[in-house]
Amino acid sequence: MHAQPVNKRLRLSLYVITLSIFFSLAFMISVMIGTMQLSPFEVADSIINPNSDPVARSIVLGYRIPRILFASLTGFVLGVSGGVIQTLTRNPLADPYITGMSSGAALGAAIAFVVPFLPYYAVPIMAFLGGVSMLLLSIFLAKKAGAGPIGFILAGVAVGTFASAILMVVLALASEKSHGILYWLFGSFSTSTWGDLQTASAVSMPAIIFALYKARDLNILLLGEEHAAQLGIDSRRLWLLMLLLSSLAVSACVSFCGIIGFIGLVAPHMVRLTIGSDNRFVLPLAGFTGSLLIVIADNIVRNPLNPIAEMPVGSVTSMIGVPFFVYLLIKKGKSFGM
Amino acid sequence: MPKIKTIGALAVIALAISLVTAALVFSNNSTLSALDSRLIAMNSTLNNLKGELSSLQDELNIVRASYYPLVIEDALGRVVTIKSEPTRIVSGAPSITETLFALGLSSRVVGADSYSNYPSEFLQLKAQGKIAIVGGVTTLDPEKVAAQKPDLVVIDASLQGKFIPALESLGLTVVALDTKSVESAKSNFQLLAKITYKLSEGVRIVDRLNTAIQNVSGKVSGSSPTKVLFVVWHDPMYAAGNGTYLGELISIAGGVNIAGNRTGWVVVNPEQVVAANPDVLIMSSMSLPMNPEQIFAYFRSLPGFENVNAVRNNRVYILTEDASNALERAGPRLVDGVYILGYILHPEAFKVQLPNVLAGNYTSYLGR
Repeated sequence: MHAQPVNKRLRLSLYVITLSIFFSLAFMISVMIGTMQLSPFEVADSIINPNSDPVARSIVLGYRIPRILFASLTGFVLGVSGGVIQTLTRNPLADPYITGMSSGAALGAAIAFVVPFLPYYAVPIMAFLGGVSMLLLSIFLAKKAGAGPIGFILAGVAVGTFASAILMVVLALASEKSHGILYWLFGSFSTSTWGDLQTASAVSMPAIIFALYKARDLNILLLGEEHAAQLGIDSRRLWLLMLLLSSLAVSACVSFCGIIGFIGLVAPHMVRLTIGSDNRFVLPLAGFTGSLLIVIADNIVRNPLNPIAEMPVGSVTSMIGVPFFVYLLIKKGKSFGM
Repeated sequence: MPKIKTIGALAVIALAISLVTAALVFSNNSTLSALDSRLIAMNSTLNNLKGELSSLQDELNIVRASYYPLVIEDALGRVVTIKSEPTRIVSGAPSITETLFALGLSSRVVGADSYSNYPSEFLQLKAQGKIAIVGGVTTLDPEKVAAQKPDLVVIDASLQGKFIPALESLGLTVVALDTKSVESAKSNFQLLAKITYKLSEGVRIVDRLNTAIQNVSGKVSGSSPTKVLFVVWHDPMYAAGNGTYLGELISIAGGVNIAGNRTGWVVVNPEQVVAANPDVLIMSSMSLPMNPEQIFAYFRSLPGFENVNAVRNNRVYILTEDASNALERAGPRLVDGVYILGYILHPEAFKVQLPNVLAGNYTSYLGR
C-alpha cells in the first residue's frame, strides 16, 4: 500500500475528529435517556448539586455514568486487544476471544451461578479465574506444539471448545438458574458499578497502556523475527507478553459484563481500512472505535422506545457492527489485511 | 241423706272420670290412627324414594358405564378420546401432579416429572418406587413415560407440547394443559376431574380457589393499590410483566405491577426500579441462588435503592421452597398463593404481618 503521507494524515485527523464528535454525542445521549428521561440541565444538576432530586441523582451517578464508563472501558480494551491479537497471529479473523479465554470465563461464571450460596461478587472472580486458566492452558499447549501462530490458534480453539462443552453440561444441569447464566453470556452493562469499574480498570488499563506503548515494536514484529532481532527486539518474548497482557485486560472486563462479541474483531479493521495498518495509530483508535460502538449499542439496549428493553448488548454490537463491516469489506475488500 | 249425697257426688265424679277417660282413650285412638296412617304414607314415600334411588343408581351405573369413551378438547385444541377410566396416569409437571393428588388420585399416578415434590404422600410413593420419574419439565423422556404403561399422560402444553408426536407414536393418550393463567388453572381442575370421573372433587377445588380469590380481592378492594415488583432472579432482575400468570395474581391481590408496562417475563434494570419506586419487592425462587441475607444485601447495595420504599420500609420479601411453589405453580395450592400475596401486599387489610423470608413453613403464618 503506497498511500500518500498527506492524504494519510488527513484521513487520520478526519477519523479522530469524527470519532470524538460521535463519542461525545453518544455519551451525552446515554446519560439523558433511559427509564427516566433527563434534560441536560437535570443531568448537570444531579452531578453538581448534592441536594438535587435523590432519584435522578442515584440514576445518573449510580447507574448511567458508571455504566457508560464501563461500556467505554470494555470497548476500548476489546478494540486494542483485537488489534494486538490480529497482529500477533497475522490473522484478520482473530479476536481477543481466540485464546479460549471467553469460553473459560463463561464456564467460570456459570459455575459461580450454579454453586449454591456464593456471594454475588463470586461471578466476576470465577469468570476471571476461568478465563485466565484457559488462556494459560492454551499458551502452554501452543508452546508444547511449537507451531507458531497457527498452533496457538488451534490450541485456543481446542481449549475453548472443551470449555464450551463443559459449559453446556453446566447449563443443562442449572435448571432455573440458567437464565442468569444465559443473560451473563449475552453480555450486559445493566448492573455495572463504580466498584466494577475500578477493579476492571485497575487490571486492564496498565496492560492496555503497555500494549499501546509497544505498538511500534508490534509493527516491527510484522516484518519478521530476523528483522526484529536486528533491531534488538526479542520477538518471542514480546509476542508472549503482548498476548498475555491483552488477554488479561479483556478477561478483567468481560468477567463483569459478560461476553461482548464482535467489537474486538471489527474495531481494528474499521480503523485499518480507513487509515492503514500502522499499529501506533491503529491500536488507540481501535480502542476508541470499540468504545463508541459499545456505547451506541448500549444506548439501543437502554432505549425506552425499545419494547423488549434490556436486550443483550452483545447481540446489538453484532447487529450494528456486521452491516458496517460488510460495507467496508465490499467497498475496500482489496486493501483488506494486516 | 248425707250418704246418698255423698254416693251421688261420688257417682257424678266416677261418671266424669269415666267420661274423661273415655274421651281421652277415644282421642288417643284417633291420634294413633292418624300417626299410623302418616307412618304408612311415609313408608310408601320411603319406598318410592328407595325405588327412585335404585333407579338413579342404575342410571348412574349406566351413565358411568357409558361415560367412557370420553371425548375432550385439550389446551392445544386437540380432540382426545379417553377410552376408559384412567388408572395409570403420568404427570409432566408439578402443577398437574398436585392437581391429580388433590382430586384423590394418588394411587393412580404412576409417573411424574423430576420437579414434582408435593404433597408429602407423593414423596412417599416416589420413595417406595410406586411413582417413577420420567424426566424434567423440559426434558421429558417419552420412552420412560411409555415404560410406565400409562393409560393417560397429562403434560404442560407450552413446555412439553413438542413431545406429543413422540408420545403418540408410542400409542399413548396425551392431554396437554395450559398452566399460564388463573382461568386456565380452574379449567385444568375441571378438565382433569372430568377425565378421571372425579366430578365433585373438581367442583370443590374450583370453589375453594374462587372463594380465596373473592376473599382476598374483597379485602384489598378498600386499600389503595400497592406498587410491586415480582422477580425470580436478582441479576438481571427477571420480572413478571403484563399478561403473565403472576401479573394476574398481583392484580387479584391488590397490587400494581411496576413491570406491567411490558408483556411477558422481562428484564428490568435497577435504574427503572429506582425511578418507579415500588412499595414491595418480591423475589421468588424454588431454590435461591444465594442465602436470603445475601439477597437482601444485594438489593441494599444497588445505588439509589436506599430511597426505594420497599427497601426503606423493610418490605423486601423472599419466597422459596413451598412458599414459592404455592405461588408459581398453577395448581390447587394457588389458594395459599393468593393469600400469601394478599398478606404481603396488604398487611393492613388482613391484620397479618408475614416474615420477610417464607419457605416450607409458610402455612403456619396463613392462620387458616
